[in-house]
Amino acid sequence: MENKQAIRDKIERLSKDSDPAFQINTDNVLAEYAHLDKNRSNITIKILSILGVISSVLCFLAALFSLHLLDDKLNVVICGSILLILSLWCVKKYNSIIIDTASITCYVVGGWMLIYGLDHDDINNMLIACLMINLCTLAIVQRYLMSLLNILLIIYSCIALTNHNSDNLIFIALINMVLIAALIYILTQEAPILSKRNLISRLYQPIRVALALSTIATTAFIVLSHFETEASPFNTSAIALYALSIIYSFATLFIVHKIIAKFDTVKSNTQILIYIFVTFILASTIINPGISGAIVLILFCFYYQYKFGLYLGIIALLFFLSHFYYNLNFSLLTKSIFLMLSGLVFLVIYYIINSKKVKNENI
Amino acid sequence: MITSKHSNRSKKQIESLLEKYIYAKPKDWKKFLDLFLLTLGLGFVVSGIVFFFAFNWAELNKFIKIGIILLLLAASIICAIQLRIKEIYKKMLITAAAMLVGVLFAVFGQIYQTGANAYDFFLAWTLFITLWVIITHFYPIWLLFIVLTNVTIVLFNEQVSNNFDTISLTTLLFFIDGLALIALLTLNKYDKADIPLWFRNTLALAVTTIATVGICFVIFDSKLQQGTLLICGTIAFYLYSIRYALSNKSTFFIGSIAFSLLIMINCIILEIYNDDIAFLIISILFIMGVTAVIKFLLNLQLKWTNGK
Repeated sequence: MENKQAIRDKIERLSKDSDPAFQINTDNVLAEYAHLDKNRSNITIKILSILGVISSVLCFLAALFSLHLLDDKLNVVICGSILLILSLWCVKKYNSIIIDTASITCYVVGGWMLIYGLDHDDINNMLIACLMINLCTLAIVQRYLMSLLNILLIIYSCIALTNHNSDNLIFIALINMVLIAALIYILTQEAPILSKRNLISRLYQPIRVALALSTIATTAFIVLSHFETEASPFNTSAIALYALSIIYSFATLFIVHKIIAKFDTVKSNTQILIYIFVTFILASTIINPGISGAIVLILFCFYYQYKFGLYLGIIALLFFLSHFYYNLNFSLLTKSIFLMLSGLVFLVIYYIINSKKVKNENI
Repeated sequence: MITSKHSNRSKKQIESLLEKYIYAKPKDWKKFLDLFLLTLGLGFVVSGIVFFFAFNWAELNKFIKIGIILLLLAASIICAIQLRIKEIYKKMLITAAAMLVGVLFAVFGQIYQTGANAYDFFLAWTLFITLWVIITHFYPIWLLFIVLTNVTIVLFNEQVSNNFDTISLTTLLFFIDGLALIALLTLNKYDKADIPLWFRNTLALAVTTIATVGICFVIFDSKLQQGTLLICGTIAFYLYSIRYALSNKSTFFIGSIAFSLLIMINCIILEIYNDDIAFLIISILFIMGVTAVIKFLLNLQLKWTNGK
């Protein structure tokens, strides 16, 4: 735990080069740090709360089913509304991890009951109800876990609505493009967003997590759906795949450009070579946008030192690379030669960079 | 982020602070690029080699098949003994050799169609790496050894003996793993072993899971007499673990034990009230129990971090 003096020192250090008009409410900062310390949860507490929420939700639903409470729609709507309002009231009134855990349980059960009670025959109506409930909740309550859940449900309601009403993957690819554009915007505009001190800045962290998660998950959905239906004559998903790959390629080139700009000493010839190499890698994996998507996520998240996104990107890269090689229509021998050659290319580049480094150090 | 929230710091100031203290610098990018290229390069080359052998495996002569694995096994052991590298790398090489022993037995069984039970395979693998496990004193290889021992016992019961029912089997596994954990923790206490947190927690989670599963079977099968040993052992182990957790400031032990107890209590309720209302009681109990445990852990953590 950081003591008060250490926090004061930190504030002073961070405020050293500020404007003369700079003002900070030290008491509020100290109070927020104290609150964070009190509710600082390690991995045990997080896992315990998630397990607790899942177990109690499942048991509660089992109880409702076995008590036949879900037979009458009016009962379900009333119970659901009460639970939903109760959970929101608790989250709004109290601010602690314990209340959050219990409230999210109530919220999930209440929301599900309300949607189920309103209409459980038409999936479109159910998804629209889910979207509306989560949008309203997001406007009322801004708390990390609850908002993360709301944003994820909003994104996935939209995707599910699109998927339910159209078989063409291009529409989901379009949503995926919007998601990656939003993620890049959120990451590159961190300072302007934080300085606004509005709803978006309060929701900055859950939005970032939700966008990173949903971008990769949606890409995985598109890639897996395409390869599942590849043999069918009605497969129209190739265009979605290529379009997504092209967007990810532009995003990769954009971040590569930003990275090169950080190094003042890169010559223009070397820059051209780097762009050609990156374009070559992206072009060779055009049939699997997951690879370029994971590379975009890794590069952007490392640039802005966003660890969760970085780890997610690494896991996604491993998954998409194995999927890519598994689905290549070549014999195992050709695949093995491809793998060895691509490995050698990376090792040669590593050698060239490091031999140049040693030369420079010797000079 | 917190200081920006409670101040009138401008966009430019926030930007410069983020650039100065948070965002990656050129030297970070150099490190990242080195690691990225090396990992991808080595990863691709190694998978390429594995694929190459997989492609030609059926056509390879049996001597070459066993020869390749033996060569790799010998090479890793010779490198571990002869090379002047860091101790950790030597231990990693021996761990790789221990894995290769398993591959060697599997290939041997496949070529000669020995007809042995899967239990024989795991027993041989466990026995032949025992010496390395003791000598290297490296925790990943210890974990492999414990997993192999457990698998051997389960398979022995399934394929050869068939004397143990689920309760007896979980009791046996509980005592083996539990005693191994207690022995390691005791050694650690007297500074004779430096047990890493991940290993300690993994083993503790395994023991707690085995105990929970065993006791749930005792409850649902109503075999209290048969489960007495397991119940007594679990009580003793949990008491020891709580004492250990309080003196070593481990929230993990307390959290896993509390969750295990919660599951056991809910199983008892389900067994007693075997009707619709039981689910309702369980769901309420779960949320109350988890909430209470989290509150307790947070208070404990706060007390520990304040140094009380």
